[in-house]
Amino acid sequence: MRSSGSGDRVDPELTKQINEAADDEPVGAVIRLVPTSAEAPVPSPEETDRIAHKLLAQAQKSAKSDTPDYNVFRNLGYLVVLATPAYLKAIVNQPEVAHAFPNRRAK
Amino acid sequence: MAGKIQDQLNALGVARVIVILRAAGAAASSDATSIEKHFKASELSPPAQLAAAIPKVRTPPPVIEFPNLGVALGTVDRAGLQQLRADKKHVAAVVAAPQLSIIRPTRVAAAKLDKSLTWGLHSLDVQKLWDKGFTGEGVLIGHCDTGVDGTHATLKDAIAEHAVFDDLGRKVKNSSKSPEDTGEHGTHTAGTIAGRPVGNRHIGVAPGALLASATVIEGGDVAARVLGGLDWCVSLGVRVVSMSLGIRGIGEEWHSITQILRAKNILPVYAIGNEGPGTSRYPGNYPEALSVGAVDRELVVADFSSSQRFIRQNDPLVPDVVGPGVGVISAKPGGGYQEMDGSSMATPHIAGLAALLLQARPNASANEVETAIFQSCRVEAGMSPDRAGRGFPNAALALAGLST
Repeated sequence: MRSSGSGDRVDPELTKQINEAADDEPVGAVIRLVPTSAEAPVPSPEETDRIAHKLLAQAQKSAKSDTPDYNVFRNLGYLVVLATPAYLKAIVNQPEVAHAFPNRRAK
Repeated sequence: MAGKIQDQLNALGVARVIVILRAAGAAASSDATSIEKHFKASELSPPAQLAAAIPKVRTPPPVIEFPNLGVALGTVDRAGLQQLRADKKHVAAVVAAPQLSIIRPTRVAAAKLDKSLTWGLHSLDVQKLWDKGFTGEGVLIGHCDTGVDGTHATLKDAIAEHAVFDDLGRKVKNSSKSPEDTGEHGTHTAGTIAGRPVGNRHIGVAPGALLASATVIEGGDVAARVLGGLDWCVSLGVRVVSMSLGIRGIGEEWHSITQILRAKNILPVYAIGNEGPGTSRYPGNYPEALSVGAVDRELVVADFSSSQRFIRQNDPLVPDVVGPGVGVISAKPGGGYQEMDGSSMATPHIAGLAALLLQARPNASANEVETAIFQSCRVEAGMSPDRAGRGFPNAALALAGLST
């Protein structure tokens, strides 16, 4: 089943929220992980955990900041991160990220 | 915002936009007149031969002007968008029209439950499945909504699990032991799915099914709350998810999640929206969702029920089916009953029907259940396929279709 859409890896509104936030202002991003096999549309719960924590650690090192508030949706292959713009920029550019969109949309 | 306009153009060939005019006040009207030619006549207008058959279809003007704000709202195709953006004299900016989130009922009214079956249960012919012993027993249905009143007489035995989710989709540890509704919507939809009979009076399609009820909305849209609810439902082994919420327009961010649910053999039954012809909400308008619009007791599609045709090969027309969505009596938090109108009310009817079928055929896949529901549908004399999709299901025919 094909999907339609612009194909943006990072949702434009998330990009806007990241760019407009102050350096220490948290922004919420929902992140879909790239499937790890051609047979399954979503990584296993264990793989989801592993990849999510790897992403968080990499972003923490890159952005030189503390671990943000986050939650991993093990059964869906997603995670949500509430973090500073620098942290989010570091995380959404990782190859394990299939798509990222804002946790809250502007009204 | 540019991404949202492009998403709409790719999916529909048109996009709903707001034009920020150069001038404001009286001068804005002149600007609006100048740019009117770039807008399409409303895609909501039915062809002339259909208009007579659908007298109540609304046809808004192509451009709605707000002179005091200095903006205009309308629909454009690619050429129109290009022309607007090139018109530097009258146009300051073009942005995607804002999207609303919650699918609220269009009407709420006090009600008395004075018949043994609501009109919706009667029209769907569910009694025939109940008579065969199929009440949804053994089937767990995910219910993602505002919560549910677990003390209500019809619901206290219907809730297997309940959880409240915070803004990061985490289950709130100190949620009440007795499930609560943060509003009224969730209790009503829960009652329609699996409400138990009280005094031989029925409101629930699947009075033997159990609910995993997740409180994920109470105004506003926070993606992680809904994700948390869905993730939790998946972990509990639900076979169906009933979700009467959505975001107006087109957006891709929930598509993968809906595909994932289908891949896990879960049937996502979603409301299509209440904004009338030429509109729909996502995730209901994805091909992978079983989208539901609303009819009244004469099986006429409600004016408010959304419907839309997409430029895609797979499932181009939404909703997929229509269900009872006008004057639906169901549970009210605190006790008693109330009537609501909306595609939100039609959706739990179809989710409950899926539960009946899954009790009858536990090994049926989500695709098979959906196909059986589709094949049972009839398009009534007063229905336009463009508004009703495949039409109105029949429980007995759906079971017969699943058995062959």
